[in-house]
Amino acid sequence: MRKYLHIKLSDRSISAQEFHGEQIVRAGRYFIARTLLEGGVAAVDPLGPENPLIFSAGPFAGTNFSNANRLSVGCKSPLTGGIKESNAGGTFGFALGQSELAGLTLHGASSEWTLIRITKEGLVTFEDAQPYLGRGNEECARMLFDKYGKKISYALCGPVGERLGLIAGIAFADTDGRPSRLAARGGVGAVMGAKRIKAIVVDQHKMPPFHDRKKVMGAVREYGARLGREQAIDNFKRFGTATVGDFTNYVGGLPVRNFSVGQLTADRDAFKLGGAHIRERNLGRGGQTAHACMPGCMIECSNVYVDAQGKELVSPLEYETLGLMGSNCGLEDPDDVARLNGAVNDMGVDTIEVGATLGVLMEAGHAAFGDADYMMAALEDIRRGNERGRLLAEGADRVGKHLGVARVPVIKRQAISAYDPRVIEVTGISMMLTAQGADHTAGNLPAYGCKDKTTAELVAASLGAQVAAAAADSLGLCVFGRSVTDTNPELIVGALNDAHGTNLDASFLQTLGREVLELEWAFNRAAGFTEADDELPAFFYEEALRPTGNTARHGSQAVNRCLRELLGH
Amino acid sequence: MTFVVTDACIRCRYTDCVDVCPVDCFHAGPNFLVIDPEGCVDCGVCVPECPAEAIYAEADVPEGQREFIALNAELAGQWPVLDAREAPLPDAEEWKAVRHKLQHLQR
Repeated sequence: MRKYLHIKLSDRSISAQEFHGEQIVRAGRYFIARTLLEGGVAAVDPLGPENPLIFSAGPFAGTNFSNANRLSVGCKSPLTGGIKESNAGGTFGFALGQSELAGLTLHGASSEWTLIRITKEGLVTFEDAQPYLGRGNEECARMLFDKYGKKISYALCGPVGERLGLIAGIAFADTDGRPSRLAARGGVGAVMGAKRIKAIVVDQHKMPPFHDRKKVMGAVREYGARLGREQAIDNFKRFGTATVGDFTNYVGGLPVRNFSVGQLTADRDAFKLGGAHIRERNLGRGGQTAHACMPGCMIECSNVYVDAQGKELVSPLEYETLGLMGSNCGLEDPDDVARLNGAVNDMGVDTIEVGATLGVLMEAGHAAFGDADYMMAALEDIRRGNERGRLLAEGADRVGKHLGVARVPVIKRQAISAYDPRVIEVTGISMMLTAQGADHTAGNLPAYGCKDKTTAELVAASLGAQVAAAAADSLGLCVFGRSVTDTNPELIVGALNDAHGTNLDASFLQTLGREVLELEWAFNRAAGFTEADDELPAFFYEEALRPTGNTARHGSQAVNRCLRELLGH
Repeated sequence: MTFVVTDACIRCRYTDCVDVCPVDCFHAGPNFLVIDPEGCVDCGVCVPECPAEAIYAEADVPEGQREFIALNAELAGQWPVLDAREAPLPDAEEWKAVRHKLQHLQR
């Protein structure tokens, strides 16, 4: 059994639901999609009190099941106007699980800035959040640990979220306490800000009870052992997610200077934004590779990146940030990206959206590509919330429209991740089709051989990846474990049955993932989206990308026709 | 980093911790357990399981018990892995609250 808390902010009343069996299992992205669709949330103002803010932990939360402690945040997105599930690693999902909580929903809005405290005994209290307002996330995190002790985790609305900036995420503590694990995308931080909730603080306690804990632990060990035999996992551990950059640069699918080129350099040894160079530089300076963002994660794709003096610049330094805030803005040195990344993390905003926004500014001629000082000054404006900063905090789409820029890399008003859809086509199709707005995590297959494949073949590959990702996102699982998760459904489902006394069969993961997608598409239709909203920006179809010469081959109509055939609609 | 078993485990050896270790990194001696620092994945889930509160993160090992960091590494190389919970030592409850038990450690 797990409890689920409904917190009504207007009068601070709390009701607790008891979840059993499959209710606990169908968590995260599934729970969010179903709850929001059935609740009629598609029609509400996303920054109004009617938009609920959901925090949902997976069925293994609170254990040391490798990469199974992700926390899903859900609401109607104020950035896209569609459904939003944004998930993060860190310790918040772990802490909820250890407090025997499946999650919580914030309903309505508070009249005063408030901190919500949840103890391991289940006591919920409301405290004045004034002392934390306007401060950076790092300072807030220190204050929270000073006040509540080390054995807590937190969800934090940063200073940009306080001002309802649409690039704002929600920051969660990593395993060292840093506010560096973000549910970054879609403006979930603005929704938390609109509710005037500055932070939620939850105790870390102990592993919660399970239907058959001994068998669950057997599955934990087996999953970990299988991860240990995977070459892909070993690459993530040694090189971090930045290893993806070595690949995308090589194949010409890296965003460079506002998606105008697909490769920073043809000389692989000269490419500094990839995993090989970053690992070597970081280790040479005394930095840390193989860092776990979640307790017990054996993938350890995170890192602690340090400067030449060995002082921490940021943790983690990841591929999406290196792509969007790095090469997309004309930067070539990871130290520059790391410094900017540190500033962005302290504000609690989405590095993908920030990078795309700054790239659009450079496209408009506000600065030269590669001007890191300009970028830092722009971030300072966002942090301070002055007139320009407030505009930039609206994200790439709105900034592009304001400035009259034609080349704005967004789908459904959300910035495209670091995979140029002209080259990395399956991921591009996933970003088109997902109801989440452009988001590679919805169905990422960067190494899939796309050349000579038909639209139908690529949509089929995308759908497979989308179903798998949606299932993982519904179980608190990090998609980086997919080489084990997707090939061992009987292991995962067996562990779920042992954990919560269910009787699911191995087809459950496919069923669950498919149901998520259908629910999300239904939500977006109810919110007024049509197939036309799935289209890539025109320049992807019109401009040949160097060095491949590719233009986008797949339009929304064709992609959706293929999808309908696959789904039998 | 790793987690470290300290003084409070000596002559108790409850082994509740062993049940929740995802990587089987506990090694058992006659009246004490240690964690293999090379195998530990730093999840920390074993910490609240210990009835004697003997387990700490390496950085949090109390002054006066820092020698247990090296002792865990040393004995993990000598003692066999314990991968399933066992009954605690017969007089564990009597020794649970006793401190400074290093002289009772049997290798």
